[in-house]
Amino acid sequence: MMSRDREPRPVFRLPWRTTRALERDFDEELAFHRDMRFRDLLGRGIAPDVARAMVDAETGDIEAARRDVVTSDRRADAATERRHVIDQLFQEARHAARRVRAQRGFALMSVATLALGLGACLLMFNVVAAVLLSPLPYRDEQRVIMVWQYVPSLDLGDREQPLGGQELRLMHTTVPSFQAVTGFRPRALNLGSGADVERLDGIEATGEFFDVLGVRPELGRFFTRNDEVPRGDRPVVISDGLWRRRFGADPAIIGRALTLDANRFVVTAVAPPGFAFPRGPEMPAAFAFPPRADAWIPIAPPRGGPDELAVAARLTPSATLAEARHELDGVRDAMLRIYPQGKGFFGTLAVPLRTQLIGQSDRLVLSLLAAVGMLLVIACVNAAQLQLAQLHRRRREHAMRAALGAPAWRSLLGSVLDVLIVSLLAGTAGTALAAAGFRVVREQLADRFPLVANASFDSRTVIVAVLVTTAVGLVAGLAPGLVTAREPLADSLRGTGRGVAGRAGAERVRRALIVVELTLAIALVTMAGLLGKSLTRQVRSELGFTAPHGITFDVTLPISRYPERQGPTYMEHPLGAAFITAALERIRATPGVDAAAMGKPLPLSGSQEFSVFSAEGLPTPSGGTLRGADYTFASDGLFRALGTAILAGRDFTSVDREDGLPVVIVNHSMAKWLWPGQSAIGKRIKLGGLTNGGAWMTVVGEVADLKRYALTDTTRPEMIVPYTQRPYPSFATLQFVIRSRLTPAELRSAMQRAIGQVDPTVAVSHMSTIDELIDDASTSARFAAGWMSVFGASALLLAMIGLYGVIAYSVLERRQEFGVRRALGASTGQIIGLVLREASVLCAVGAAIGLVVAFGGGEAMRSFLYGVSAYDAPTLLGAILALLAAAVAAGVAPAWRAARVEPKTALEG
Amino acid sequence: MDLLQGTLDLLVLRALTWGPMHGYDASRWIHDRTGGVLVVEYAPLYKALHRLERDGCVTGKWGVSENGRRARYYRLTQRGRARLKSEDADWRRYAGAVFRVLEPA
Repeated sequence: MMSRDREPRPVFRLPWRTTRALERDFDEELAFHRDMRFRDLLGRGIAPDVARAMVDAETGDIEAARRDVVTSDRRADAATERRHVIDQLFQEARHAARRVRAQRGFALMSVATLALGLGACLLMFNVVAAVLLSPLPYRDEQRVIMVWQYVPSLDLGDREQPLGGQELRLMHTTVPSFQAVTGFRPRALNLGSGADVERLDGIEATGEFFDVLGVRPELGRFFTRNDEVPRGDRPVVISDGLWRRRFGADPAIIGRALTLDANRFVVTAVAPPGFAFPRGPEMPAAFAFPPRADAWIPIAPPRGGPDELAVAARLTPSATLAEARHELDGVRDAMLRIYPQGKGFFGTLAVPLRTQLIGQSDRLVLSLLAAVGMLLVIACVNAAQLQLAQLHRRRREHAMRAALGAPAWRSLLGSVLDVLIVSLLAGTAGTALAAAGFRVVREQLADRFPLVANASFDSRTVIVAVLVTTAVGLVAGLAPGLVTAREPLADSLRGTGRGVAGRAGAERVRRALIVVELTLAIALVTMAGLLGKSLTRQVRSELGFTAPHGITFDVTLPISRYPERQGPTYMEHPLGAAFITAALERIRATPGVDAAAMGKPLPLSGSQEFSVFSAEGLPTPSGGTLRGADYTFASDGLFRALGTAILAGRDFTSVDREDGLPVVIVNHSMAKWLWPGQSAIGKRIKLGGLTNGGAWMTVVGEVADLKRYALTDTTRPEMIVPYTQRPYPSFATLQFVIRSRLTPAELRSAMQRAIGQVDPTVAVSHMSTIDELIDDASTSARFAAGWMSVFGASALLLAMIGLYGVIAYSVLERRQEFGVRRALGASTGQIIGLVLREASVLCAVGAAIGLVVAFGGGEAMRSFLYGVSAYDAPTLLGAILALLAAAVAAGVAPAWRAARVEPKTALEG
Repeated sequence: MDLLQGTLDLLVLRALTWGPMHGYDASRWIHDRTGGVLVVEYAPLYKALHRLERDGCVTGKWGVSENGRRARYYRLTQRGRARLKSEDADWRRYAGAVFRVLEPA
């Protein structure tokens, strides 16, 4: 150890001596010795041949000695080399740490820049990991598929339509690819009664529901096909959440009797924690599945009645999706034979479960991931810029070291270590930033993307963080290092940077880098602008209803007490209708309520009803398929309560009783579609085909189009019928809308009181303001636009910092030139203009290339854009102006400094 | 007279306290100093030198000899000096002990 301090450290040595070289050394050493001895002996007058013999005798066993020396020298060499390299690494690391400390401002800026880029990247990676890479909590999830009916000839918005009990029974028997198959639908339940009544979101499912999903109960046993037909007490499976909330996690819950919708059920199982299949946001809107179910009850595949089952199936281990699809075509053909007319137009759609659950969100998060990738590149370029400036400042030192024989790799190593230290700090800060950001994301997306709601900031992200951080350090450190390493030594040694070739080279690289930065920045700003504009367009779009003071809530009638009856052409709900009439009376009588109505489904409530119909006097469309339109059943006053304009005719009134003239109200799209250029009032339509025995309904009103499902919907034809005449298809869950200046809290108790007076077993649920509904409907858009703006603004800021660095440095380098200009009479304004022009030129080049990138980005995001083109000129212009402003802002300070250069500087050297 | 086991390192280190020298000089020095009693064979000598170099007791460097030939010069390091000191003391104690045994009582 001591020797290391005393002995001169070799600046450079061959890292390795070969065996040959070692042998040669040894031989040469020995030969020298023998020769000296030989001469010595000769000098004493000994005869040459005697002398040679003596030398040989004195030498000893050369071969053994050589072997010994060479092998152990080799080993020692290797060890020394290792120690040497490690020593040098430590030495460089110490130097690097010292340099970073000495340049605290520079380091802080690099760390902040990289932390921002890395943080954004890790955040989005974690979101991607949560949404796309996390396994679903179902056994062999890739074997689980969803099966839908789709109706190719109709525009139904959602492609996925429900199937009926008949199809389900056929699938049980004629689809060998299915190991298990189940049909399920939402079923709201009222638990308990009186003041204690609680509305539960439930699911009715056929026996193989849990077999399809492959989950195990936390307690008890799940129902099977044997439980489909009730024998004695009916089984119910409750969620882990309900078990803990309502029953205090009672381990003796199994076998406990519950009153659901005034019927006796027995708890047979508790679902595992987190299990809530199917979740509303992951299923097509038409099904109105609740956000998370709390109870599951078995049903037999329904006979007759409307199709309203969602179907899921588990494939056998050997079956492929293609085989399943082929066999499902057989089901369609069989149905065709049973219903040659009625169902002739349907097909089946088989979708892997994961695709179903994720939907379009993969494209959204991947777009954002691409965006943060760009941000990271900008951050790297900035770090590289800073490093380049740093190296440029230190090029004299480097040149000196090189001249003294330091190998190029040591300079490079130093440069890489500088950035590695910086990037490690940045990686730590970035990871913290990303973890904090993810908490925000989870908050924002919890309702919409349950996969994100359950995700944490996970270890994969940390691994990626380490890898990316290191890679960034290597790239940002190596690239500038390589550039400087190529600089001619003499130029660098001259030092002041007036060596033309060297400066021009480095300058070119810096300019190219800043153009890359500006290019990406403008692309990001443009994409943020597009998404922002799209969001504005969405929430300001013509909704067809108004938000202020609007409040909606649900009420679920227990089917057992409000039985449906198969009427001649539709389901009859006499008790349900009476409930609505009585409830509306009470609600309207509540002080503070300005207007109230029932409508199902209400706009943005996440559900959809649809019906085929025929119009009097219009030919059936070619191909024999029927026309279809959205279907709403409503009370009078719905349009007043929603703030929807009645364009012609009248609202429903008390005249529209069951025994009165059957009436219907159509929306503007429907009127325009069926009777263009004519008044719709007085025209007649009927549900189903022309030969259907149902009654003709006379159009009595035309109303403005309503945005029903999503803010981005193009409005579709819709018919609205009075609940007093055509209650189709189900009254199970009713929706009310009221206008009131009361707070939601005041309203909740007032409404529960009003409803309770009509029926104490019925609960008010899902109360929300119309503003909240609009917010929920724009979750994805707000998420995308919000984060993209954050990323865009960061990109702009980073580009500004980068541009500032380049301009400031260039001004510093050209001090003398400015001095000369000043001496020759250039005004302050002229010099400022000169510098700003430099910034603007860079900016213009960046903008030109950036727009091309932005076009690509806009194209990729097309499906998220609403009411704004991917090539929206104002947005592009805005992005360019923002960038120009940033460029000028970045250039002003250096320009001012340039203008203040004293003319005498021209004489300095 | 052949060398006793383990004494070669000591002799070489001692020789090098006179300054950097090549193997031949070292062997001459030992030879002259002992009046030609101790003869160092070349092969073991170079084994010893390389071993000492590996141990960090000497450093070897190629240089040019007085007669203009390439020769490897060895120089004592700090560690070599320390080693010499301790081996010197060991040897003296050992030799003293042997003398005392041989001394007529």
